[in-house]
Amino acid sequence: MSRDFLLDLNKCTGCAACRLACEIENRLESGDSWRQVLTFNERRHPAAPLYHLSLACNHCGSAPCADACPAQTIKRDEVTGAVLIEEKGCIGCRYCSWACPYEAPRFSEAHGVMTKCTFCAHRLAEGREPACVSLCPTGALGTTPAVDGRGASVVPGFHADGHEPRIRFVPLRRGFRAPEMTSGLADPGIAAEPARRAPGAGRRISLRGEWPLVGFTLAASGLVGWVAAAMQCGISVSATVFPALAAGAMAASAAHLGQAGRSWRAVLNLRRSWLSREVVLYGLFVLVSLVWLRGTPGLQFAGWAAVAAGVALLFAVDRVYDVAGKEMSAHLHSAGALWMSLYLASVLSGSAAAVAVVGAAKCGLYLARKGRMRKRGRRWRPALSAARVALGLLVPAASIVIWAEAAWAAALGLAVVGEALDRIEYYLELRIETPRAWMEAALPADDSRHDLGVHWVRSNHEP
Amino acid sequence: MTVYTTACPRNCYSTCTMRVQVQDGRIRSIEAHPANLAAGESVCLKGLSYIERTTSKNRLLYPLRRKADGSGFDRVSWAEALRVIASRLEALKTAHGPQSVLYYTGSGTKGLLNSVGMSFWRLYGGCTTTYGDLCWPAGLEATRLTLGANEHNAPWDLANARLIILWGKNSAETNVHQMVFVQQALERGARLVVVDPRRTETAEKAELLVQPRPGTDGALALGIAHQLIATDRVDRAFVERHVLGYPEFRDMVRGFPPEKAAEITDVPARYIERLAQMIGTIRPLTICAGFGMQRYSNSGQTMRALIALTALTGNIGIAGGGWQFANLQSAVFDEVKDPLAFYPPAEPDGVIRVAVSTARLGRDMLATRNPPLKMAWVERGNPVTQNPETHTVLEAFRSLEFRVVVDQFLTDTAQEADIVLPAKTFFEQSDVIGAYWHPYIQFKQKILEPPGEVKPESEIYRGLAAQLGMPAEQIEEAFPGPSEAEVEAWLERKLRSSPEISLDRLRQGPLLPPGAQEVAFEDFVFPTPSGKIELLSLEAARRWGADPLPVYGEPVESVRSGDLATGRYQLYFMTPNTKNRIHSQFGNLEMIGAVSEPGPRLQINPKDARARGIADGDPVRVFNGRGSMQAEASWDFSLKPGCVAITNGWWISEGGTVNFLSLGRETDMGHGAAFHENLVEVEKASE
Repeated sequence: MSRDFLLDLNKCTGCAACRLACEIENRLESGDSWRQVLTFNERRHPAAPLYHLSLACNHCGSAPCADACPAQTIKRDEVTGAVLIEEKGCIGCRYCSWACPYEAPRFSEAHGVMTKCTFCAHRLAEGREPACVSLCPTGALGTTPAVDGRGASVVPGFHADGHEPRIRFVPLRRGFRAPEMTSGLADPGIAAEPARRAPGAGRRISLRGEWPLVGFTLAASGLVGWVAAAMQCGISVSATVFPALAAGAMAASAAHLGQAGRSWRAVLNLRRSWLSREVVLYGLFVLVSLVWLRGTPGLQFAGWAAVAAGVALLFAVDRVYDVAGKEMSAHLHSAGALWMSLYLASVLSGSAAAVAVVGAAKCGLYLARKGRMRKRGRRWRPALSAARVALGLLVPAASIVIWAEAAWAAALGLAVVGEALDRIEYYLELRIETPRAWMEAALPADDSRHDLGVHWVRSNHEP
Repeated sequence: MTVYTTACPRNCYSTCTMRVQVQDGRIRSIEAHPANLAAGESVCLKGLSYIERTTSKNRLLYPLRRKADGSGFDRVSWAEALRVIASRLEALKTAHGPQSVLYYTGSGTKGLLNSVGMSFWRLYGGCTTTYGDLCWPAGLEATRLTLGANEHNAPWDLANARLIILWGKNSAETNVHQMVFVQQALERGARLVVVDPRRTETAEKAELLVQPRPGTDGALALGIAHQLIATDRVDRAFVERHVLGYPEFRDMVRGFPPEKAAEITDVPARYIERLAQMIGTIRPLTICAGFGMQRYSNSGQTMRALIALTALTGNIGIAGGGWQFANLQSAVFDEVKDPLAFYPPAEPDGVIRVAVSTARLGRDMLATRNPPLKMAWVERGNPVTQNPETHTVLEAFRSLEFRVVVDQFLTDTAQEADIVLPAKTFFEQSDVIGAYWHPYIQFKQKILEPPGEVKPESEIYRGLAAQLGMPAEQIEEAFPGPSEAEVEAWLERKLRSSPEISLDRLRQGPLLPPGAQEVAFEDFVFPTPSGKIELLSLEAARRWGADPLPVYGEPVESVRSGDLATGRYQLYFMTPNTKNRIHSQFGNLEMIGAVSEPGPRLQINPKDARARGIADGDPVRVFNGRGSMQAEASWDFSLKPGCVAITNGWWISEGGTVNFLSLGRETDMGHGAAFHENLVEVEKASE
């Protein structure tokens, strides 16, 4: 019978025994616990309560990690309802960790695969509670029979997001308020200070870990753009450089896997995973392009087929990122794969009109995005933006309009640099959903205690 | 896989009964034994971390001797270590007499076998030792003077309370199992008030957090008492029958209206009135007092004033009511119970010189004459980081000719030693332990062989006694033999005085001592001189020179004392305990490190931080005339302005001990250490 985790916010003191219990039971290294204990209102703002969320895998009804897994190695255990990673089949691509908003799947550096909470399925099978539950010294963490159609109760800092997470909360008895304090609000100036800490900690997708993916996306966009430009205006495609680039990009992204030897498994989840589709479409695009390259000039059809496969590939590439960057679809991002490819094709074709039109559209998307970020108080990097627009968009356009053929190579080089910068920014700006980020967002950013109160009253009254 | 029952002997309220699974000589899991009703849910995170602690890569497994050039240690054999120690002991005895050796023990581990140390020193011919204690004497003495005994209701009885006041107690971190009963009471509709300048994890569960200026809790209690009397909320029948000195007490608190208490405590008068209203009308009331609050120079009187609130309202001797400070019902094997056991004997026996105040360890060591101290033997303790005035303690240890430290790890104290001897963990020798929150007596069963060359203290002393050529029959009488059977036979002899308690019965699980009371004082027998609850204590006056009534006096070190020396330092420096450690134990384990902040962290109100240009996360220097330490500033909006806090127990190598800033000073009663009474200043540190 399926069970849900049940966390009583009144009883939890944030002691972290559950984290240790998990490490001990599952023989994990210190600090690699599958459970985390997050603190709401760490700076103890008097306008907000202080409480803790002890979170591991929520074994969601929708299990977005399982949908995302290209190797189809995340499955639900029929007996316990636990969502389990079969480590033998894991290729270590980390994509499940992008899809999970609860930070449950963790990459094991030691084994090159993803690991996560198993709901202690081995203990459940023996009729015992999970270790974290058994070893909670205050009885705050428990399990309760799952009720169909009943999602997690709402607590500020925790989003169910339609994933049907199998965790429920016993809300604070006092409501979402701090205790009355005899000197807590003595100074109104202090209450006006923001309760939030500087954000930034705990991102699952970091640029440092993902350089091969930046390279792969750029290469894929460039290669598709190259074939498209060739079909459109007859520029030549090198029969040595093209396959070399295609193989290099593939190799780089395979090397980035924790288990490169199992990389073939990346195509197993075509039914649900955009990553599987991306991999297959990449293969298809490269294969058809090679047929076209080797074929007689009469094989125009193959060239257009390659372009079609390429466009489908780039569409898939953009969809891959949708699981992480919920704030903005990659299709509408100036560094989306389709947009990058279209722009590079324009530059490659040397058509001043195409460069001007596509460049202007991209420039518009770019500036609009930066404007939004600035308005929301996010870091928008004006110097980098200026460089990106000037070098990557204005100079190539100007040089093609003014000098045409003569400056083509330089224009192409600058355009590639500009796209690379934009793509790097795309990673830096990805807003990753994490419970920590939700908790920060639910805290007063300034003296907005009234707004906060309204928000909590609402949350508190939801079923 | 074998499952053993044992018990955790740390200096901790919970004293958990454990079920430990052992496989291939290693601990695989630790669970709570459900027969311990006080701590039956699970052991705490520190209890779980024993899995690492027993086999920690940092554990000392061999004797060590300091290198000739002083830089670090060499491994030596037991034979060599004992030979070096014995030759020193012989030379010192001849030159200065046995009392030139200081025998210092801390509260690192509990058990009847701890007494083998003193047996050895008596065989040696004597030693110098300490009186008083770092932990809790002021509260013990205040309770003893007022109620006659340090006993309180069983922990689970708290669920019956309708009003709970956790006064200076952060149970969520220091007594996590008490929170189970607090929550049970709250589920039944009880009310919870916490008194603490900090908004702790415990305060978060309360409806009201009362934040007095540190050291003024006594004034708060007197203000409440005034209000109880003024509004006729006193249980007159109870007071008539069971309280001594009510008229005198009433006359004294007449001068303590809420406005005056408010002026002293910084707690607005309306809150004092509200607290009095709650205390006077909600019954049963239990007040649980923490230990930190009674480490001030006025805290014996403070604690007596707090107890008075439970007496005035007739909340003693009833289910769900009472004063909870320490429950020594399990201390049935002690000839003299704490706190009396802490005090220097009225008539010295000429063998053991009880002459060094624990609170003033460093200064008293340096000042001792006839003979002066030449050597120290330290076990179960880490005085360098945990006793007041670290600089003076270090100076005192360094001024000695020879130092021996017995420990599991190379602590800051062990770092000062000439010889370090590897200590057992509690899994490696059987013992019998009591507790001070629940009343259980427990068998702390041996379940592992000591690793490496580790020897239990009884074996260390046997070896040393043999090395010194002491007669074999004396050795056999003083110490148990090495085998488990011999240790158990030794323990059985100690248990003989209580026929109801035997090892065989203890093996099954925790036992209640004979005559244990679930509701303390339910017979209203108070073993005080008058047989009543003494709000007026002549013994307080006679023994401590204190006012017989629990009058309020401003702490010596206070922002209001106007003292020139401390005038530059305007922040109260609180040094509480954390859930992650027991004093300086556990913090060195990786498991604990992973769930703890990486180094000392200074909680500071943004108001005080901004006045000093300190941002959240800035490195800061905390300092006063006695010393300084570095920490990372952490803004805390709800901390009482004017107070800052760093948890105690950090090692010097981890960033510094809070006791660089404390002063060796005794409490007004009980020879406790008033080392929570410190004023400091904070400045942004250059990185």
